[in-house]
Amino acid sequence: MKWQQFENKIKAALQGHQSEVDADAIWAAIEPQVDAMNRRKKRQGFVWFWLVGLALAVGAWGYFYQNENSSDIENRLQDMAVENIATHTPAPDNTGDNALNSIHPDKLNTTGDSEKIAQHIVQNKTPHSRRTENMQANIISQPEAEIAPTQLEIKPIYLTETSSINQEELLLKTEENIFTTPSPLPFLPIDLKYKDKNKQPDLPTINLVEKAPQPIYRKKYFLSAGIQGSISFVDRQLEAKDSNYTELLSLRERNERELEAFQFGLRLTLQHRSGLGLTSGLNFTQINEQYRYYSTVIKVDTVPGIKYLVINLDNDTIPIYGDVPLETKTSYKKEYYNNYRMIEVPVLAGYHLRHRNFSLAAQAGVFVNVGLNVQGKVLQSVSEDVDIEEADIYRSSVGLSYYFGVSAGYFINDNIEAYISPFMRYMPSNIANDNYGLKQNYNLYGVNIGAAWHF
Amino acid sequence: MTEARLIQGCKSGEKDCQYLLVKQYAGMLLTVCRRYARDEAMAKDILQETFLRIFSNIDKYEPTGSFEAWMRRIAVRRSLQWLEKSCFRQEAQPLEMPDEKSIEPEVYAQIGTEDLMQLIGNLPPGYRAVFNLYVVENYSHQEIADMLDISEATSRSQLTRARHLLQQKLHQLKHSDHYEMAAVRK
Repeated sequence: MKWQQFENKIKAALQGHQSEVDADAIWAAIEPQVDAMNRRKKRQGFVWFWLVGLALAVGAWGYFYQNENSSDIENRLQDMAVENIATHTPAPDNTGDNALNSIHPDKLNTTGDSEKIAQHIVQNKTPHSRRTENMQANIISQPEAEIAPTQLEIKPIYLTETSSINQEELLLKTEENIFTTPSPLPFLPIDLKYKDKNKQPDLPTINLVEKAPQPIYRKKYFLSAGIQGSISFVDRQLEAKDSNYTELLSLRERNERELEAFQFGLRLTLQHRSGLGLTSGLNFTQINEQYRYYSTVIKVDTVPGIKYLVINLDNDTIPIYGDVPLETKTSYKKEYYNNYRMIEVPVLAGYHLRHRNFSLAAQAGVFVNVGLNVQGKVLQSVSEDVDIEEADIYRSSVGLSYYFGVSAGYFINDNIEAYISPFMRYMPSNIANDNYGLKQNYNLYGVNIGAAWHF
Repeated sequence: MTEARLIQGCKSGEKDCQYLLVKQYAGMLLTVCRRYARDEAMAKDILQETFLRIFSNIDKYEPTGSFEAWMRRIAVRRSLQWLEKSCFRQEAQPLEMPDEKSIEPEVYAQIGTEDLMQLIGNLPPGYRAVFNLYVVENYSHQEIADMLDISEATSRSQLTRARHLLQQKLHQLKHSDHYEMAAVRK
């Protein structure tokens, strides 16, 4: 046989060869590290989840903030315009046809033309034009003393060349105006003139029921109450206090696994008009875990029975009775669900933003634990488990945990807001008693879904 | 469970799938580790590290290639990292190729895979690594040189020495009791 052929045969033999190995022993050796790796992966996933959430929140905040500013400027502009019109616009001259510039009502002899104007006005509405529209109605109603106070008649507004003024220029001029009031208004986006009654085109008239002007009071504080609930991922940390408990640690890590946590709570939020708010309420959290244990127990008892047989000289078999050993082998699988239930009082500070029907908030604070109740079993030694409800393993309350969350909400109507809020809770306190060999604490990552009523 | 499901489960950190993967591939990967390791204990240590490396890098595995081959590559690299780099750097004078006619068919016929493993395992670590990489894993001398941080010439000379030693061992084996016992077993 040639060497090359020999090598090919070696290759074929070795590549397909499976060595005998105790895969369970290999798995047992690497299992704790695999668990740690899985936890780390899960945590990394959440870090990304949080970073993306935070980036979205910051982006949305930036967007809304910009809009708030621009709408403020627009509103200020409209306010100034109203003010200036009221103070500086001369009384309508019924014969002042000359003042009409680009579109002369004389030329508007047909209903179609008037509709075009109406359309033009509608098309040129800004997003905040509802407010402007109301103002226009007021503006028009002012000089018409003879109009009944309960009814307003909207007169046609004829646009002039100045209506096409550049928006930036308009803002600059408005800014100037703010600081130089009461100087005469150097610009007006619209020129209001009324056509002589005889020459008025046949335009549609809208009758509005005038509402008595109400002073607008902006509340200093807002109160809201809500309910929320969530399912969250659990990251449990179990740690031996010293080397005497490493075996117990390994036992528990092998036989227990964290499942999920759910929580629900009531929230009461007092919010200042600046956006800062304080939230408290009552919260219930339940952390679920699974305890699984496979074992075989061999028990040797002594029971009365035939100890041995004696054959006498007459060939009779005589049983000799006594205690005989009885070996009982029991294989069993135990599976329990452990619950850690906590009642807490959240104390959270937050910042809330609202733009139209949307809201954003960030909250941080503490959850004060007022009670811990546990149920289930854990291993105490290789084959012995204990009922955690009865054993003195866990504390009755576990102090503070730290919370951070962001939320995005939508106002369904003026009072009801629905929101979604990703959060993380860091629970640094050891929930086990000081005399227990292991430290046990949790981190929770989840998403709250809730609804709040704004009073 | 299909291989794709197993991989998906391991990617999402499902312990059952991770356990199954260990159960299914431990034998194959231990063979790889044993070919490089000094002894059985070292091979098992390398195997554990290999599995941990597989689980931590499984997200990077793309199902275009063979999953087994990907795991073997990890096992090979872990094994090489366990061996001291110095053992690969023994520059050796090139030897002549083994005699083409020196392998007698009956010798090979009597040797089992475990015997072959033992034969290769008795080679010095540097020779063993190069022989395994070139002959069993199909790496080129250029790739071996990169992996072991040696020159291509060193890789070639180590392979030649490995072949020569192997040939000598086969010859010794033919005249030993072991060979006779193996023949009896057959």
